Amino acid sequence: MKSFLKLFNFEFNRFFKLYIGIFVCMFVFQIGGAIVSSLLYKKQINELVNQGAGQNAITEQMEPFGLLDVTYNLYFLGPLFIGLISILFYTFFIWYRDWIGKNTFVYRLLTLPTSRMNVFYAKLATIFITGLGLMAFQLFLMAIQSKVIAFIIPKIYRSELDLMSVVYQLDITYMLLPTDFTEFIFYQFIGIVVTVVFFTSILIERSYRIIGNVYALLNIGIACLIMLAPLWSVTFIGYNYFYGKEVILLVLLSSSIVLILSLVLSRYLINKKVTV
Amino acid sequence: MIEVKNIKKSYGKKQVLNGASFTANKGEITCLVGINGSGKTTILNAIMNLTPIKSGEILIDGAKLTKKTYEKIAYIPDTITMLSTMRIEDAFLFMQDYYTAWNEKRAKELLEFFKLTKDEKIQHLSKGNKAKVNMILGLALDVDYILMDEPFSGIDIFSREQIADVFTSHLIEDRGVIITTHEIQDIEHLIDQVVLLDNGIVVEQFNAETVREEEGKSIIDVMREVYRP
Repeated sequence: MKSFLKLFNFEFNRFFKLYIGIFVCMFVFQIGGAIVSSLLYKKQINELVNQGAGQNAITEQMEPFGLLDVTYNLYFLGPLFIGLISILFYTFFIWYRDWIGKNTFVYRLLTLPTSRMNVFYAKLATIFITGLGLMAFQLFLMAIQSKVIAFIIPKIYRSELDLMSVVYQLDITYMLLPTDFTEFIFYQFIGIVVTVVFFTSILIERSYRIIGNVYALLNIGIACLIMLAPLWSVTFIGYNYFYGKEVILLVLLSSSIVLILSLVLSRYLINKKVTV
Repeated sequence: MIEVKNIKKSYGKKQVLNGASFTANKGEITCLVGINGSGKTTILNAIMNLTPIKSGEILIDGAKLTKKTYEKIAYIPDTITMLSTMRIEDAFLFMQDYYTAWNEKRAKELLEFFKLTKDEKIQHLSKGNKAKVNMILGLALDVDYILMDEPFSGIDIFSREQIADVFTSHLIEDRGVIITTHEIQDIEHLIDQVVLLDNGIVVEQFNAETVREEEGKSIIDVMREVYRP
């Protein structure tokens, strides 16, 4: 456990600079975007006021402005996608950075006097925690954006959707930050399983090299088939035999099977097959 | 004692090791000699379980390698095994964090011996100095065995002399060393056992001192007989 925590801390610190870079990028663009959008909206209101329009006329003419208007923008979704893609990219890079080019740090990692699976779990925990951190930061930024809008736009012209309602209305944020705790746990679990499957595929490629690429793709394909089997069954049976909640439970079950098989395979590969 | 028993290994269709067997004793320097591609590095990697073997067996003090074995055997590959962004002191801290066998006092002693300072960043070091830091990371572990892969490769003559001096010091005494090198003349007088490899098999293993005394041949003389018959 001590070795795992030390390795996790080490892996997290290696990603820290890039991670902070993602946060800064999100902060600058999303908060900057919220300020600019709010000011532009306010400018339009001021122009109408200058033209002699009354409050009622303005509210009739212009849609109220709120957090939802800010979130449907490139400056909001762009940095969020960059953040998500960076973490997805890092899921691969976290392994290959120790192997490729002149990097031979993998020699050290694999000859530490601790279980090699601790290296695996430390990398997994890094991806999981950074992903979770990104979502929390996004929520924090949305709360700030709300304050920014409230500060710039007079209350009468604001839409009164609260933060969680906005999260609920946006597909991407809802998937990342579901309002229901059970759903949140479900998505996190699926995220972990998918990451483990990716890690296993990387270890397959690192063990069998060129032909390993084919095996790795096969591994991903088989994992998808098993995980989504409860959904395929609907297609094969032709109608919804199961209730929605039953399907979710079955997906949980099939994902758990994939998780266990992937971990067993990873343990075997990292201990017996992997080549520096 | 490290026992390598009949190990076989192939990369795709190319057979790299074809039943190599030899032993390396504690307190002795064993040199693996062979032309490029003869399987020297693969053997060291296989001993450290850094590459799988097809068949055969490797025993360290009569037992198979486990995670605990890494506290009694150190590997010094031909490139540095630390992050280049680290300072030397960070690398020492990393070693201290994970290895109970890490000897900080000896690490500092070696740092002084190689005339390096701990606040230097690894990526800013010359190739020779990187090799020295790599050597410190292995030698500062209180282990029974040390494996070194081409420690003199691409290094200037003065750095080579410094590294060769390590072999005559107390830092190596009583330990078992397996070394691969092309620059055999640098350490010929220090080698106890020589293992000659060709096409993935051990063609000859001999005691350098015995051959020198009984047959009046140097290691290079024996190599000539084996590789240029």
